[in-house]
Amino acid sequence: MKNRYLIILLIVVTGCQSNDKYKDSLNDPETFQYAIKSLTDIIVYDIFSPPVASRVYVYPTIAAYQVIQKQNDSTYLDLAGQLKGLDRVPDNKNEKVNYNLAAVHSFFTISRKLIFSEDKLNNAQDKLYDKLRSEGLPRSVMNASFEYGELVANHIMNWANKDNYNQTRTFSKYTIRNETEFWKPTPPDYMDGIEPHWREIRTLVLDSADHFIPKPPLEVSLNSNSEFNNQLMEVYNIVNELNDDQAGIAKFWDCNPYLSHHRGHAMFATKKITPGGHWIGITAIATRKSNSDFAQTINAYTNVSISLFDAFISCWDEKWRSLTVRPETLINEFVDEKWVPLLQTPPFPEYTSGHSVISTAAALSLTKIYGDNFDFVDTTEVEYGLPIRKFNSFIHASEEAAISRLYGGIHYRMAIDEGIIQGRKVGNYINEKLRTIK
Amino acid sequence: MNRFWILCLSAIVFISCKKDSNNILYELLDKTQSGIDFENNLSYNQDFNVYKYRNYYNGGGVAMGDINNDGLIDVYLTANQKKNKLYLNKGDFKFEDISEFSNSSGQKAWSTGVTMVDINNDGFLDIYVCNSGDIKGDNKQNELFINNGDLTFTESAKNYNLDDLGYSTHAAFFDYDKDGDLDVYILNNSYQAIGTFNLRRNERPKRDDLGGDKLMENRDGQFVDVTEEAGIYGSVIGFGLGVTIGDVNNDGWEDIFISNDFFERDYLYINQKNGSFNEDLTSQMNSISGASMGADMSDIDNDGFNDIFVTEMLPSEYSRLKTVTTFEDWNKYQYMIKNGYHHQFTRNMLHYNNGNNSFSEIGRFSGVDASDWSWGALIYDMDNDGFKDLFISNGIYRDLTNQDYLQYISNEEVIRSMVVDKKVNYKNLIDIIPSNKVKNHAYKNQDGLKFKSFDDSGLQTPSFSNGSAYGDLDNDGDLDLIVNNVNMPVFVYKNTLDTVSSNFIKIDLKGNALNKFAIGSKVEVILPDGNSLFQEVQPARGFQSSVDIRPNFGLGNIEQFDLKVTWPDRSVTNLENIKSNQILKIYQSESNIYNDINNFYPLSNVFENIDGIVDYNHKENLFVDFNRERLIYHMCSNEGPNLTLNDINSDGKNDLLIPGSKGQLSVIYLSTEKGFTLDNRNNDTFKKYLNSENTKSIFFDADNDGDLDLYLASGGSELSPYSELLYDTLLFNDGTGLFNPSIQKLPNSNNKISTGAVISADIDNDGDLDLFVGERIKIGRYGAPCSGYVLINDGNGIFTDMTAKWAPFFKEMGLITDAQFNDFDGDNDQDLIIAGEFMGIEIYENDGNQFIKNLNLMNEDLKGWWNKLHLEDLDNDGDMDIIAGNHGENSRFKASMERPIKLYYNDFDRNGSEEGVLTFNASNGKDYPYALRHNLIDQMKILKKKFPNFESFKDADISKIFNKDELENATISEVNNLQTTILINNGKLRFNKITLPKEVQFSPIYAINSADFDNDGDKDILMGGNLFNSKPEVGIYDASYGIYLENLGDNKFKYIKNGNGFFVKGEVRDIVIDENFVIVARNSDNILTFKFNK
Repeated sequence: MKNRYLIILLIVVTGCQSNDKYKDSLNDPETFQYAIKSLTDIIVYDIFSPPVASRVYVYPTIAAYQVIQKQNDSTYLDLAGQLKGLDRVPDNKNEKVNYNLAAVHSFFTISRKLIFSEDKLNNAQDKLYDKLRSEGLPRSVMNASFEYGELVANHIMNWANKDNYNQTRTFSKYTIRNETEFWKPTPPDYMDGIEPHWREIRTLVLDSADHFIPKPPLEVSLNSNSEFNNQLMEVYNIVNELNDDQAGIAKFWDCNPYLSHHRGHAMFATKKITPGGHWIGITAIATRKSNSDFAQTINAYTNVSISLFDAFISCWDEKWRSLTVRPETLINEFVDEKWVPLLQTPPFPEYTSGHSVISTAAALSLTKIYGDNFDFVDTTEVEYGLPIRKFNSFIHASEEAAISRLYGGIHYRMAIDEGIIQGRKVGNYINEKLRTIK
Repeated sequence: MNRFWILCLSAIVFISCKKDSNNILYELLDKTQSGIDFENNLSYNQDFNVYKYRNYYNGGGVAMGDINNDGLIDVYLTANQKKNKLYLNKGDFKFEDISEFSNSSGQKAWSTGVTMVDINNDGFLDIYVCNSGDIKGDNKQNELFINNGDLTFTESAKNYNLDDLGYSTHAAFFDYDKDGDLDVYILNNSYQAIGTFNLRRNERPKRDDLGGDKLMENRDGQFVDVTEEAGIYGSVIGFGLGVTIGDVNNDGWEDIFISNDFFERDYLYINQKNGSFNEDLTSQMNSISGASMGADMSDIDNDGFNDIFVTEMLPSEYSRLKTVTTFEDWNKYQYMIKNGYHHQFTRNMLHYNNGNNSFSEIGRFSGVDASDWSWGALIYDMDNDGFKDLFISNGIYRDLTNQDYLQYISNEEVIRSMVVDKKVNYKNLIDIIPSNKVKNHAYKNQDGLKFKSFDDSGLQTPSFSNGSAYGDLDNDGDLDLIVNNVNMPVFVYKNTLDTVSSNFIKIDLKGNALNKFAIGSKVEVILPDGNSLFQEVQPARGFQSSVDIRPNFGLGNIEQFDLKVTWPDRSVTNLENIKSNQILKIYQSESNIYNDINNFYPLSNVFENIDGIVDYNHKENLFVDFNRERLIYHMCSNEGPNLTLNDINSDGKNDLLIPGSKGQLSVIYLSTEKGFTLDNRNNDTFKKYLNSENTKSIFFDADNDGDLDLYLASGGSELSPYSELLYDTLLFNDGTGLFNPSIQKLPNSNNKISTGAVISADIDNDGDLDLFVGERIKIGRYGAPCSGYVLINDGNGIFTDMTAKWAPFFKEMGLITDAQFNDFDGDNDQDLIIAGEFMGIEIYENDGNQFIKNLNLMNEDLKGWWNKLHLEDLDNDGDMDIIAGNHGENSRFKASMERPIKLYYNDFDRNGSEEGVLTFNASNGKDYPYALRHNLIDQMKILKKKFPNFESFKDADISKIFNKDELENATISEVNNLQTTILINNGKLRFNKITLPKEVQFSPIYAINSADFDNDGDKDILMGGNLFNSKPEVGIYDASYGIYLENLGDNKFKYIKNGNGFFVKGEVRDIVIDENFVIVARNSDNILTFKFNK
């Protein structure tokens, strides 16, 4: 949607010959929104799993932020010293630098390292830069800004490379355990578990992956009067008796990055944004609705993406500790072999619910910036063929995201309740520790 | 993948001998020549397409038969959306379309399979057409066109209760209950949509009321559903694409093979001779095709037993393999086994009949495992040389599994239509699926077991081909071929063989009243040399098709022979001194004698299986090497148990040690009057090594006190490379068989190795026994070179690592699996031979002070994946010859001197962990990875940037994948020979390689032993092997049931088909011989013992 807006803008703008029109563009937060949206599109295209997608969002955003906070009159605080292992970025000595352009450039430069389809990213970047040039962006400003943007990007990338991501790529896969209580791959694709070693990724604000360990899951028991069994049957019954509203909620928050549809040997796939990507989308809505300026926009994305990143690590730490079996596995084995959840069960252990943890943490970041009772229309999923939904507040949205997993038939209530608590702890902690505004 | 270079190679050969294009066997006739103007055109729209009906591109069939009894074979072709057509043979390869006049085109929405059969026994062939496709309506009943005898037909399916409503694929008529009339098996593909199935829910036993396969018994002309009482599955998970009838156990009763698409396994129904069948596939076949398509059953090697070939979808061209294929991962494969779907793999299967209710799957050996999206298979003799060749029809109009389409392209179209129309626009979605013709395959049978691309067959035409049938359309003694195509004209191929120089005999059987075409008869041509050729009369063959029912035998230059016909009622006609080159009519009414059951292989008397000699069950611990090393294909954690047999309590009888796998205690069985008896005295000692994988062990006198001490090796891949449990241990014998561990850390305290081999000998001629210890793998780093260790004994059982003095080149020499000491050169010191993976059979000469590597020996260059060395004097010349067990040739891995397999080993993505990339060498001289794009990316994420889609990867050789620096820093290991082999010792360290019977190469060999089992004065050989823990992508190795090679003298060895009683299922890991007992150890199974007469 936004691309189209920009293209129209581009056509209109090239018509007039104003020499410093580029300044307006560079002050326009839509320029940064465009960069974020370009990244989201490529994340969807390249198919990143939810935790990895959170990493692809966070480092480019931090780089942009670190550039912005270097401006003389900046009201923003350096993240060096606040994020684990991050040193101060080099100062800029060239007065020609346009910080907004440098921020965008550092964003694209790091994005390019983290995504796979570089051509798509280059196209998006070139389109923006061509427009700026046509709007009179002086070569000297451009070169100076690119140079500084790259300097910061290199600094951030060197730091990012030490987060253990590359090493964990070849760590062992999970070896399936046969006991009933343990997670097993699920229909229809029976994929291997995703990111069993994500806890070994360096956190940004949290002390460690196990900074906030949720209380242990209920003991798996099929005894008819056990609490676990009640919760299992709740999933089964809710899905069987789902009303349209509940089904709508579940589908709205599905956020499955790759869904294969089998029709015999013929198949097709649908892709969507990840849960983290959805909250990036909500951040776009909030920054626009609040008329945030360029720096405020970057600040919001930075807070949200850091929350998402640490929340995923915290959640994945618990998932691969408790290794809780998915409801679909137990229901098929013990209750109803024909039962199929509304949503496709994602390929990792059940407890705690990722969407609950990360949505709560992201909502708290947004609440800190834009306040509670920030009502908004969530249009994030429209371009994936889903309707809009309206929310009174970020927390309202996060609560709906959490409970959607029960309606979808992929989580027990415990994973949602405890996931919200875990997300709250992560979000509050980050809100408390991470200082971005002076 | 190996097919890639074979194809390239053959392309070159083809070009270089283009002047011989006159030799092209089959001539493609166009419609003006033949008069057959048929084209199965398909169109699709939003409501009816491949997403709505999964068998959309399965195409039509072909039936051949003489409908007007003029001696000329007529042709019926089915179409999906268009009208079926009947073509009358006017002679001289001219056909006339009589579809309209004959009233035989049918009225239904979508036709599939077709069979010609005389249902009403009036001597005129009727036509049974299967119908499907119609999703909603009531317009898919099968049709039966009864021949009125005047070139017209009357549709009468309902009258016979044959108007089946299922999604029928095909039907086969045969007399399963031997009541003289023809019954029918109707193959129905499930109604249920794929994608809604949960594998845990195995619905095989549940009858599907709507569809489901059906067996119908003919009761006085009415067909009655007897599916359930006959023991036939007819469930919603039956995705039958092939029904193949024939007698697989030579008991005279017809059996049934059903090939099922998708996740359901195939079925093998053995006729119980009482009106019912026993579905026995899982006990007779190991590996089977995953998405099985068509099949055929015939005798490929003229041994009198029907073999079965099943088609699947594995591409033969490299670039297609890399763009349209995915393989099951290990976990999914295990899950399918657990839920009863057996061992299914993505490739064609050639189930070779062992003649003892077992099949060996040898498609990879025979070279017929990959032929792309294949439908029909026909096994018949194309060139009349006496060996049946193989035709495979190929092609799918849309490349449904194109990976770029699935991952990148389809989504964008779906999103577009979802946003615009709020629903998926299937038509647009299908429009963008790539469409590529794939050539049909013809393979020439070389010698019964090996096939090669039949390049001058003229049949390898790029197309979208489905059903096909052969028949002698011009009655000239060779078989012509018709192939039905989607959106292309039908192929009418005339066989141009010169039948003057290559002889034939064609048999026209005249059966009894209720089976006038004698379906189920067997015809045997007995040649002057005593060999015979064999065919069973079953017209329904290949895919959706039925062939010319008259058996046609190619005879090469043979002019005269005997003939034996076994009729369906088992009466026999014997005819002697028949002349070739004629069409011979034989009447069942003139048959003379009744035959008893064929018994080609009487039970042998050499080996007798005796139960309960050693009561031991090996348990392998659960460990998945693939979870740690993503790019390896074979596990190294399951190579035990290896047995050690020797007398540990000096009572003159051999005792038995079985080293335990991780989590299983090593045990000793003492030989007593009551046989082998468990000796628990050492349990506490062995408990210390419970968590080691004890791979090998030897008994030897380490401390020169006259009793046998124990070297217990620790290996496998399960432990951490830093674990103390990896040290090997020396245990001293107190003389009674009680062992006490020494404190020595072996092979030395600096090297915790995964041990693959340990042997002892007096290396330095000082009167005590020294050791060689070989390292199997670097744990977690498969492909990193391993070292050998020379440990010198001080006389008291204290060992010092003196490798640096004796053999510095043992450092990082290869992946050692076995070694043997012997004085090969007769100079009274112990020379050493070592073998392993990526190693030759390396011989090191002992010169008294050091080992010397002799570089000029042939065997050095035989770089293999060696598993086992065994020494024996096979030629009775007083020196030891070498029998070496290798990976074998029934594998997707193929290697030769010219085209070696290579392992590039390096930390290519510089993330701190190394990876080994296995490649094959193509005819262009370049090395290509076996791994698919996503498997390489799974190990090296960075490659996804280099290859953002499958298209960009499809032609990338190793030099495109890695840069020059990365390759220059890589360790490259090679394999150029995968045959199990015998090296005959000619003295002076010179060895002569001899070629073994082909069957030896059917599976990897891990165990070898020898003795004069048949008491004829020379040493015969037993071998065992198989490897089940390999990735589905390459398939498991399961074709061996034990090998008995009889020594015929003169370095000739004969493979005995049923092993003369040596028949072993499972993964054989060791064979030892004690007196007149053969003891066989198997992984994750019990110990077997065989007695032989001595």
